[in-house]
Amino acid sequence: MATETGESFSSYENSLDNTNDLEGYDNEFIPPDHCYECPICMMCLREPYQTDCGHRFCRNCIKRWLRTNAPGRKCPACNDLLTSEQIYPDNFAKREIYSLEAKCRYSKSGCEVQDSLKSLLNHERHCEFRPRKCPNCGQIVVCKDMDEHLSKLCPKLTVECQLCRHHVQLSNLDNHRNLCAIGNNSCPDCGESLDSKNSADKLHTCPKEMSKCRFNNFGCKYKGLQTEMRSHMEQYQREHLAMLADSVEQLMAKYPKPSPDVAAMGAQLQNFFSASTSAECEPQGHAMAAAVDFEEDLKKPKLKRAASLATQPEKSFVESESMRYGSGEYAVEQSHDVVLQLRNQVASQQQHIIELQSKVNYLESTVQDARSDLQNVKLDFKRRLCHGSFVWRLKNYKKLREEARLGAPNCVLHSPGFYTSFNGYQFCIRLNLNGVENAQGTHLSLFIHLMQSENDDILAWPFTGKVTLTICDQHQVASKRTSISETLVAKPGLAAFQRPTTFRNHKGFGYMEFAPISYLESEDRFFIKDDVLLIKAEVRSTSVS
Amino acid sequence: MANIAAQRIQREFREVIKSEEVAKCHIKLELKNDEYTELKGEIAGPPDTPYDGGVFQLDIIIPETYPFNPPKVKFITKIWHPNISSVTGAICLDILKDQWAAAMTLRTVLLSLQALLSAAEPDDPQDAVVARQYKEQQSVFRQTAKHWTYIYAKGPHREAELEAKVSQLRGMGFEEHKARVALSTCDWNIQRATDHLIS
Repeated sequence: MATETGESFSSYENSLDNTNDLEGYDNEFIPPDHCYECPICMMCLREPYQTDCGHRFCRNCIKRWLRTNAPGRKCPACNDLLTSEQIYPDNFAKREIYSLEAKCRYSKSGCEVQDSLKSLLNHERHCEFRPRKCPNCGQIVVCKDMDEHLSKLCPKLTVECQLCRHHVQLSNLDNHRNLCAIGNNSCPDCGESLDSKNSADKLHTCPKEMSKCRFNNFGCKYKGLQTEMRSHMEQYQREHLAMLADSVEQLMAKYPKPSPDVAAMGAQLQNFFSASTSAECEPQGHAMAAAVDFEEDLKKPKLKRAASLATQPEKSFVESESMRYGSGEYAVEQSHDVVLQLRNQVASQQQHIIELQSKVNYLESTVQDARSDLQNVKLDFKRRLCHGSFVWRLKNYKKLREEARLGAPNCVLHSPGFYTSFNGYQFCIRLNLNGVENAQGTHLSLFIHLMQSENDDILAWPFTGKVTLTICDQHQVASKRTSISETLVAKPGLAAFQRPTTFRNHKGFGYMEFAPISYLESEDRFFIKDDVLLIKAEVRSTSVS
Repeated sequence: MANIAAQRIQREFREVIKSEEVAKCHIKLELKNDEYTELKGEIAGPPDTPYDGGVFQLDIIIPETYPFNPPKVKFITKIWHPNISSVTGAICLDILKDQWAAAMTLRTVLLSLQALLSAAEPDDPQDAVVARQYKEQQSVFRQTAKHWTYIYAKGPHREAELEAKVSQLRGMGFEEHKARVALSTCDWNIQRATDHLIS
């Protein structure tokens, strides 16, 4: 037996890794062949080699022999001296062996294929009986059974416990079933197993369940098996009666007469009763059924009170309560309608709100546009109606100055164009916050440029007149203001005052060193106030148009 | 690769079981574990030798590198032989050492050991004392070997004279096997054996 198991085990292992096929073919030959058996591995020669002395071995077997047994080695069969130069591949034997008839090496696993060894070798590579190692559990499984193994049998497979719905490894399922909270749902007293339905419905009446005596509320401490309860009841009749009597006495002491509120409640109930009978209570049947339930509920918590109440008021109380319950249901139905109405109303209002919202959005954007239009018109007015006296408020001075200092591409700033009169010449101010050419880094450079305008055709060219450029001191006290101002006269020969041929005449007229930057920025001066620099240009035209 | 060793032992085992030597009870092979790494061998003492009729048990350990290296074999049964240690059972046989060939099998090993019992090689001894006796006092050697075979290997030839000497020493308080070894070593001279035991 040991031989059998050992054999199958090792042949599995061997075939698992085909690259390790070092020794001969393990197939069963038909008829059995000993002619081509390797004397080393005792299997059929794989890649046969022959020695000088005429013995055959598997290629790997003889090479390993010669390698293992260093110098002066001998033939394993005849002990003649043998070196690695004295062995040769024996292709004749190889062909002969390939033509031998044999069974598939997996015949022990059930393969019935029988063929020439050469064809078999091809078949064995794809034989469905070849063993494979399960990638999950490492078990050796015959190839064709692998799918089933992976989907059903692998112990590492995760399955759902049918009872508690937890995921458990298949190999642990039996263990889990013993521990599974629901699987183990058996009665703790009698051990009877309960299925989940039973336990949920409490249908199981356990004969071993310890129950309390029904006079427990009146002071009986007895606890016992269902089966013994009967004899207890018989035996302790007298005691139970005494307990009952005590309880009743206590209750009577507590509630000597029906208390006023109870009486009032009774009266109220009477009213209800009459009201509800006269009212057309639609869900009458429902109400009565509900009333019965209600009565049951009512009895339990109010047991003590009920004992002290007279039978009549109690009855009417219950009845009228039930009526109230009935009308309540009606009210619920009514309010349900109201809720529906309200809901519809809310929906339509929401729709309305959405419409209004979009209207508001539209108006908002229109206002925005109008506002910016207005802004433009304002500016235009300012530009056109300034009569050549334009004040340019340069905001964010610090930032612009820093950009200019670092040589940003837009370090040249232009003011909006302004007109000497409504139909006059258009000018703009050019400002270099970091100076130009020689003044770079030290002075602020300020120029005036002529710009094209729709008036150019009716104006005299070149422009003649006076231009005053001022950087305004914004000191609070007018007398302390020391604005920097320069006036220049437009000479007709200057290119700057010819009719502009581009949007802005690229030649300007002004001062590279208009004012030292350090002076403008000095803290005891007010040229820059609230980060704003004020530049004023006054252009007086003397041209005759 | 241990696998080739196990596979070969399986095949050899099957071969031995079927062999005629087994059929004739000359040799026997048993597995000691399922991994084919340990076996128990048994050889019958060859006829016309002092070992005739005895059964000698052997311990066989298969190395992982088998058959590229020889199996490790030693006698479990105590034996009086120039090439086998009377103390440990270790065997001095060339095929179990440098003359091993991969084509040899456990069957050929057992048969070689049988042959060794028939033809000792006193010039290449394992047990020098035995070898000396073998060479110098052949008749004493044969008698001793027979006696050992009778005592340890269920041999048929009882050597009453030698047994008496062992009993004599036992009577003096010496342990039986020690007494036998001493007597065998001292060519059954009681006086020398006693001295040997005492020293």
